[in-house]
Amino acid sequence: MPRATILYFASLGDLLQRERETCDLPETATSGDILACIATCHPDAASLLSTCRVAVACEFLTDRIRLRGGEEVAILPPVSGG
Amino acid sequence: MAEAMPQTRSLRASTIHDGPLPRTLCDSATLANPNHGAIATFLGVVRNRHHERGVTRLDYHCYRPMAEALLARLIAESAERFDPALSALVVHGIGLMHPGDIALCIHVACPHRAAAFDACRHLLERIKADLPVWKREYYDDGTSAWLTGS
Repeated sequence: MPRATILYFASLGDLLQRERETCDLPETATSGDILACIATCHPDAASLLSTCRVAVACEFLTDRIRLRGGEEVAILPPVSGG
Repeated sequence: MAEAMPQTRSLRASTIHDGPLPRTLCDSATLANPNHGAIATFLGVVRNRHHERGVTRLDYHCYRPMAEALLARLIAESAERFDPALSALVVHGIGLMHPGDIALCIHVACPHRAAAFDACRHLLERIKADLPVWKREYYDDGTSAWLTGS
């Protein structure tokens, strides 16, 4: 399984008490697959994760992606800029 | 002999700035040029109240590489949609801010006012919807909360 660096932000980072970790992800995955995979490791965050979006290499993930390993995968809670 | 046309070109710039935005950055005259008859500006200012609670400060966080790339893309998207001659300057501040500080500035210059207003509004709404920036509010009762959604 490809190993990726997972980034956590804002409320999610606080809840998980970390800003990043490495995680094994499926070779092909949608954002839902990635969030489900992380929720398995962090069941307490499942509810918040269900509101999050996923970005890979700084692009919102809108489709299925093939992961090779070494990617930066950002888990983005609802934004509140401006 | 015909008078030479003023040499102007579109200026498009965006960035994430550490701390409150300096007032000089909020001067829309920076974009003034003879090809653009209208400049629309939006400034996002830190409020001192939120849902009847006193706000003492905000702490903005962001996913910087994605935020910077997305701001540039949103400007290009706005030019494509509203006016290819559009100039824009968009800066979002991050870090600690206090009521009255300016956290966001959007300047859009276009040949005509309708496109300038529309593009400015469009940029703001896209920033609110997608820019990976989050703010934590601190209240005068000593509590704090991450805001979700805009």
